[in-house]
Amino acid sequence: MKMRSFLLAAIILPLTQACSFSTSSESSSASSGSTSDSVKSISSPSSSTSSEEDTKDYQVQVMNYTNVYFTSAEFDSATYNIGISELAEAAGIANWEDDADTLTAIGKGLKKDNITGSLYEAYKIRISSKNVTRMNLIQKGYESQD
Amino acid sequence: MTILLFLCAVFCFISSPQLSAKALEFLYINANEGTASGGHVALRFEKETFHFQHYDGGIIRIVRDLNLDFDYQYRYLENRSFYVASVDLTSPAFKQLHEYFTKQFFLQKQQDKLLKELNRSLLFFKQEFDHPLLSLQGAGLFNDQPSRTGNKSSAQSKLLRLFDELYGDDFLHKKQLELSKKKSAIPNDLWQKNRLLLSDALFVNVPYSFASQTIDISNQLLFLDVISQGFGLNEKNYFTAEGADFKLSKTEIAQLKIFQTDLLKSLTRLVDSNRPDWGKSAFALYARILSLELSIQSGQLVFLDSFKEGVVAVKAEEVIKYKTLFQAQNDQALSYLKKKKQQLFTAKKIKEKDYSLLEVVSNYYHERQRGLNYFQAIRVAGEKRLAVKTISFPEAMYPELDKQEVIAAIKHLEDYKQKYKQQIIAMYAYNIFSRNCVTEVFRNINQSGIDDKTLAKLNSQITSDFATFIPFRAFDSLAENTRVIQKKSFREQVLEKMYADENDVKVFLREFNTLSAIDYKFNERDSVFLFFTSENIWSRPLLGVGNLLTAAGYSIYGGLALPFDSGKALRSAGMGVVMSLPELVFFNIRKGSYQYLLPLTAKNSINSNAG
Repeated sequence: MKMRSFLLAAIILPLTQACSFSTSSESSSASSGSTSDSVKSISSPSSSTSSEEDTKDYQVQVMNYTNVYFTSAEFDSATYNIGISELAEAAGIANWEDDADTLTAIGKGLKKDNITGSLYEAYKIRISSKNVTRMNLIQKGYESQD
Repeated sequence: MTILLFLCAVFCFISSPQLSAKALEFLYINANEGTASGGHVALRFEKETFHFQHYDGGIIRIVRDLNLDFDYQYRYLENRSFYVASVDLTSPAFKQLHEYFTKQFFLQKQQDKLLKELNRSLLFFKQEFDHPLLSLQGAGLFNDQPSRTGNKSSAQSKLLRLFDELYGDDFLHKKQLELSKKKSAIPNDLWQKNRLLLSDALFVNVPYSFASQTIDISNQLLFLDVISQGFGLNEKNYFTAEGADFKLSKTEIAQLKIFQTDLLKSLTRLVDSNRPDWGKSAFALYARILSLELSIQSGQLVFLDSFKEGVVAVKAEEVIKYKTLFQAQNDQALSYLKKKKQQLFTAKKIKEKDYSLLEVVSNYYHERQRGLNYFQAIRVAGEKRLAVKTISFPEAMYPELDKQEVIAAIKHLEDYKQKYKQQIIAMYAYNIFSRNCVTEVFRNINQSGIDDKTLAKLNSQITSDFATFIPFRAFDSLAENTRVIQKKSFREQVLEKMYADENDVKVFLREFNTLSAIDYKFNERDSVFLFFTSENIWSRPLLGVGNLLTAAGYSIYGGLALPFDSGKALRSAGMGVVMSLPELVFFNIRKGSYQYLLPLTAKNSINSNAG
């Protein structure tokens, strides 16, 4: 098996290229991500998932993004907001600032980052624009995360 | 009692999350001609697949796909089988590794955004108004003039009333003044960052550039115009879903009215948001509100056209060729739609996410319905869950800028972009031996720094073999002591069923060549070939000769057609020859691919032998 596969490599490698080559027409540095939107159809993705799974998957995305952002960047509200907006748009949500699923996921992400005390309170106020309902939803998510 | 306590202790020990294992899946994707003819590898964490792709410009980057998307692309459309090796990791190690790959994905995506912002700024100062990066997102959903009748729509009236209630009189006018002032006051230090240090550990914040600020505020101003002057939806951007299945009952209409009211209230809050991109979302939300109004008034569901602009479409001539498939897709979509509609209207409250999914699938269905009934092109990709259409940046909204400052800014940005590219190449340059889809998987596993015996053992297996830069060598190496299952390609599954249902000889004679094979149709992705050689190893050299002769013959035609088709036929023939050569020595790369197939269901992506 090993010899066979080595021979195969010796024959094939000069003729071919290993690995997948992106066929995106965008420039390389603008296309890191997933299979290009312009060729991907709903024929493959979440059409078959339930509403609850869809919501859960979305919340995981928001939580993960929040987690990555707050553990590896200096807070910049424009950057963070745009990132959340993109995830929300992909899930069909126009106004994520009013969306309970988004806000609770943000709270979970902040808890996952071990952000506590006055720093947590400051972020909560910034993200919610001091809106009490939004702050409560972020808090709810924060408290629900292990 | 002692025994009971003992049993409890054992049970707790066994079920401890520290000890429970989670399967990390390494995927080897079989070779096929085209983009990964030497094979490909990927890493799968439950629902997500991470892999590395080689991009134009000679760099390799991480890609994240949902399993369904990945399977559909590689196993079905590209017709490659998967070999899956599962390695058990402890739950914490699995979680940490998943988080590490997720982090790399977000970090690299953010680096791309930085380049996008650079490009946007350059285009802005060069005044290339037609470029998509400068477009006003969402504005394209609406007419470019107010309604001729001058009558306000019911939704518009409700919205204006809500603005009055929430913000007081004359809110729109005051908001417009506020935004105009803000636009004039955008800081003129046009691109702030002089130092650039990209990293695979730090998330780079993208400067909210002068260009982006101007575009965003212009979009917001335009939105306020649309509201105050009563611009309606552009007729090209919505459709009525026809048929009894899309008819609305009185109860459903009542539910849509509640949903619409919720969205109206949400929109009133959105226009006062601190989000930089609220203009785009406001357009999308208002369009949704207006389409709901049309549904309510007509008693039939009306949806926005959710396709992205400029997407892949099957030409009208080809619609006829794939008629059966599109009809099957349509039937499947209709069945799904009925289910989703029922779920939507039986939920306690309609959520935007759920409504958007119904809208997207309705677009999918309507597109095929229209294409099949009227022999028109069918858009087959690019449905978005939030409909956004664009217009070019209006020249009239471009600010007055000092010429010398603009020239200096362009030079500065171009230098910055050059530095960016140099850093990206330094970090991610593709190399067939040392930096490819295989090496990057294991480099990232190594760099994650997770203290885990299984991962350490895998790493030593990989590093001890010099040839593990080759995808199948790496897979062979790590799969030595692990369980491996095969997930069959689309064609393999189809053939299996045919052999089970029909006479073997009949199936073989029909399916061994591309002319009579039922499921396969020639498409642009494949080079010219006559015989399938992936199934039987012993007939490969003979059939390979047949393929070689076919390709050689086609090259004659290609030579003649060269002045007319820019060498397309000749290239196909050339690749046909290349792909046939390994077949002469019993090896197979080419398997044929498929352009359009039925949608996948979730069970098709589950790791099962039947899958």
